[in-house]
Amino acid sequence: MLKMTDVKKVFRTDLVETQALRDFNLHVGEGDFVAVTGPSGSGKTTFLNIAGLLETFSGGKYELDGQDVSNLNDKKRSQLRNEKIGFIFQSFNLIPDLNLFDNVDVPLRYRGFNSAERKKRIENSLEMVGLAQRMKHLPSQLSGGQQQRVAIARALAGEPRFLLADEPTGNLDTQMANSVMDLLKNINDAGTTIIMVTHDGELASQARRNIYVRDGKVSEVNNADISSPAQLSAV
Amino acid sequence: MSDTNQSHSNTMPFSRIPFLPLLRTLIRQKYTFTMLVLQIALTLAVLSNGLFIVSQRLDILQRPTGIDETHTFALTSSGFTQSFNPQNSIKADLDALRQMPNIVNAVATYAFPFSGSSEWDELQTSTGQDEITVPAASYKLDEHGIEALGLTLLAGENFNTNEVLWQTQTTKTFPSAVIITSKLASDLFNTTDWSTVVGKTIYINATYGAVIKGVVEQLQAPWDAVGKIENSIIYPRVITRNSARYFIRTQANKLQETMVEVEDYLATSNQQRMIRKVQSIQTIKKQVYGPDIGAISILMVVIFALSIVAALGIAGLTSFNLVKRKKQIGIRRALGANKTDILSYFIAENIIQSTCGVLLGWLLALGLNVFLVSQYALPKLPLSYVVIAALCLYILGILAILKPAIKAMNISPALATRDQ
Repeated sequence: MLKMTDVKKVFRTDLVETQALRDFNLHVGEGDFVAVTGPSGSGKTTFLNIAGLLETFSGGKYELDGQDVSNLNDKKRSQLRNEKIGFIFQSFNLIPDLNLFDNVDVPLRYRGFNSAERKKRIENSLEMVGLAQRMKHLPSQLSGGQQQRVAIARALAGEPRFLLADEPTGNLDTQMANSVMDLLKNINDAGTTIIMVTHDGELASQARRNIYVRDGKVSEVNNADISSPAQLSAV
Repeated sequence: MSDTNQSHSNTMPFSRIPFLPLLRTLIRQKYTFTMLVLQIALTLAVLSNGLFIVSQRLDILQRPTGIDETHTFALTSSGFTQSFNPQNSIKADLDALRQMPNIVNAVATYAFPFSGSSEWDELQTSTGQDEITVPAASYKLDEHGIEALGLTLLAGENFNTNEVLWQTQTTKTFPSAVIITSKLASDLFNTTDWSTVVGKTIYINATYGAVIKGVVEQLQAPWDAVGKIENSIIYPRVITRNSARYFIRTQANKLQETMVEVEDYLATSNQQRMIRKVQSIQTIKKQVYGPDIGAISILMVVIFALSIVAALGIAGLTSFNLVKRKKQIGIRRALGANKTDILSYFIAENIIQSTCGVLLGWLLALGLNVFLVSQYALPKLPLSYVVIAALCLYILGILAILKPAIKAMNISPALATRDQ
């Protein structure tokens, strides 16, 4: 489903050249829940950006849902990102000027759904995260946990094949973090593939599969709960 | 689970722009939004009224006079001795001038377009004090007048020598035959068939009957006394006085040299007078219209400066918003917006702001016009000027946001995952 082969990412300035990813190999299967851990600066976020088509890469091959995305133009990458990937960010990244309804509406509008379809999806997804009654509220009127639930609703409203989460509980207290983690597990149980970058080992242990990134490489694999060992073969 | 059948290509271009959320967002930013809307509204009010005033002035500057402005000049001959005989002097001068090879014709007249001085008479189609009258500037010209001024005779005929009377200002009489302009004919007889006008009698100042001998296409009055500058009547008269004005028409491309030749000749041909104010009609026109040209220039500078200030305001605010919303744009990009979506978003935002400004500006423009109409007797502002000004502001607005918007569309979607 998501296959990276010898992916490289080099950041260049006039003075410095930094290899953020080097020969990065990973194969994530359908329905997987992969936790990506590693020290700061190891390349976790770069991996997530490339996996989410937010950034291009310098070398290697990346196939998303069977499609080679190496040479796609910006428009096509935006389209794929919108159709196949849902994002959950550490700082929620809700648009502060938009109410919850309009926030969830953002990716659906770029998807091209008509207004009735968008309304149905927004209401369903906010219902799923328990915030349907507050859809006219602004993000600033919600707690951190509630904001992250809205971000999850926004990520899921388009029914993506992948959910990419960047430290999804990083800004939440333990109780809210657990509640968000439970929600993610439910989503994964329903069939959505999740890749989650985290510093939190306890949280990572709740994923089906753990990978450890160091110096821009997948250097260690910890099978917390591996349903299919063959999925690791590409690592 | 996944729904990839819904494709971006199915989307109508405008359905990707969140107009209502955008409007709600703008309204929440009430201070910046209000400031920008007010700026656009004020600019529209000034721009539409300013353009209208400029257009009015330009119309005045460009209105046709009916005379040959390019090849004509005027001069003043002022006798200063006791024995100076103005009639003899004028006759001798005109005879000599009409013989000069570069001169088409010459005439003695105090009035010509831009001369700024003429008498106005009231004309009517039947005698009596209670009849409706039409004002007309009266020219006094001999049979050479039509050719000297370069007028076009549409119907009837020119005066003959016998009809022309030489008289002083104190021995003023009204003629029995006149030539009128087509606009005056139309005002008097409500027709455009000029041949039917010829032979009809009109009454000057309710009393003096005169037969219309000819109709000329146009002869602008020397000054606009009553808003009827196209209404002129020509009497077959030559007024004599010590200070005479000659109106001279030259052959093509001979104006400058003829002006010098004529001045030299007249200055030496009669030592009892002096020659003054030798000026081409175009020079006189420039002097007469100088204040109008100045007013137009100042108004255009004000309009231009105001437009630039408005554009800078829009560009500044958009750039400020761009810095403020950089992360938000990254998020939108991460959620599937392509570069065109971001550009469209900024353009749509500008169009919404401009539309609010235009709607308010429309009211302000009408209010300003009502004030100008009441205070300065300006005509009512036509709707087209508000529409043109609004279009200018829309285009200006889009040009102003273009640079920041292009900057915005190049923001990387990866910004969404960075802490900014």
